[in-house]
Amino acid sequence: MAQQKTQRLRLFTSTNFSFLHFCLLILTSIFLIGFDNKYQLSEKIHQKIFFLKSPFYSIINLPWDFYESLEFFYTNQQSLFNENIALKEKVQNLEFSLQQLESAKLENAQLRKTLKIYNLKNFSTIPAEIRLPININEKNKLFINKGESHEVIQGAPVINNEGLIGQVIFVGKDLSEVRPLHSSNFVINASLINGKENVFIFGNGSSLLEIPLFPIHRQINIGDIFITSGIDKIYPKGIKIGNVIEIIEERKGQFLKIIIKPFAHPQTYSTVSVIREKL
Amino acid sequence: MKKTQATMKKELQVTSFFYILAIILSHLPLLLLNNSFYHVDFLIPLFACILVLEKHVLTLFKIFLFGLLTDLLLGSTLGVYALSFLLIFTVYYFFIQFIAFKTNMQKLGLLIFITFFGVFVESLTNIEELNNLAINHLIINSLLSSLAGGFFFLIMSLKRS
Repeated sequence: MAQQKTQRLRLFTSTNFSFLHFCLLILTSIFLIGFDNKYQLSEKIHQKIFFLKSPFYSIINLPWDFYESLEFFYTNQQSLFNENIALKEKVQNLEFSLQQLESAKLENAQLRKTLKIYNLKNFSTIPAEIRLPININEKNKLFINKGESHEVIQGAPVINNEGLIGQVIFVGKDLSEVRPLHSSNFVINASLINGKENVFIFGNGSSLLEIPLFPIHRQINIGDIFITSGIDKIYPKGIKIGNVIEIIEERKGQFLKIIIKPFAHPQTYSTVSVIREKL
Repeated sequence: MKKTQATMKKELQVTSFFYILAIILSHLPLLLLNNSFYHVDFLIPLFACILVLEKHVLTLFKIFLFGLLTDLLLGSTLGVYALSFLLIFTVYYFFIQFIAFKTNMQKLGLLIFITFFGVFVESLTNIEELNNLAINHLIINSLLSSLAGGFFFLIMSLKRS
């Protein structure tokens, strides 16, 4: 009996391979791929099981956390002293900038009052640290150590010192996933730094961004800087996105394809800021 | 050689261990690269290894579920790994109908071939990757994944012997 059972379960015997089953499963797989691409099914499932994955991500981060705590413990006095001096210099520079900013702010308020322009929405930032994994199956991912308990909300923009990084897509208790700016299904409304040309910029899965169809009669040059336009009411106006590095003619010269290099790369700094609207 | 239930149970444990290892390795930045062009796929060589070394009793439906589970755990498009695994299995099945792979070197050759094939299928079915697909990246990714396959093969063969 047992021998018969083993015989039936024998690996890859021709009786186990049903061509009909094979075709059905292949078709199901292809259907699932199409369905997922259209309705983003995997993202919805991912969102549901995100809380299950959070402990796994914490385990992955354990060695790094341990290394950081050891490094902190063994940091010598001299390096702390040097760091202190550098920080003091930075604070002085920032204080000077702040004074200039305060006077500009007052002037701005006065001008707004004169021109009867409504005040812009106020935003605050939540500082966060980038956590592992920075890639899954070597595809770029971005996780931060702030979540629901720190009032991070889904859809919040994430920036660093150099510009926009991405948008929060999943929020766990103490962990959130950010979709990087250059991922293939990222779209953002932007304008040139001089306020002209409102366009949609698309991530294409590489390290660059693109505007696929830019009208040829509009003026754009290599090096032009794009910033968030603020029209979408998700990203505050004026966050730097990137600069034009290539202009390619498309559709027999009717349109231009603009290639943009983002200013910020998620891995440039280990800390980022999540923007949230002030209540 | 027919497998007993005890052997099969042991093999299932070994396979599960390597599967978890492959999932963990997929979450670590091993190449330390900041672009998404090059990546080592650990799941395809592992699956190829399980096939070549006959580490586990597999049916078509199990392979399909195995692929779906991988898609869920890696957060990739549903069906990509399921389709890749099914096609890998077909290629493997086709080969073993005509050629007997007896020595470890022969099995390693087959493993490298089906890993190459698997990575090609996975890249072609992954629409996110398709925009930036270049043949040189694909070949390098396949080579890197084959190296991972060699690593799995070595360890699993040792464990077997």
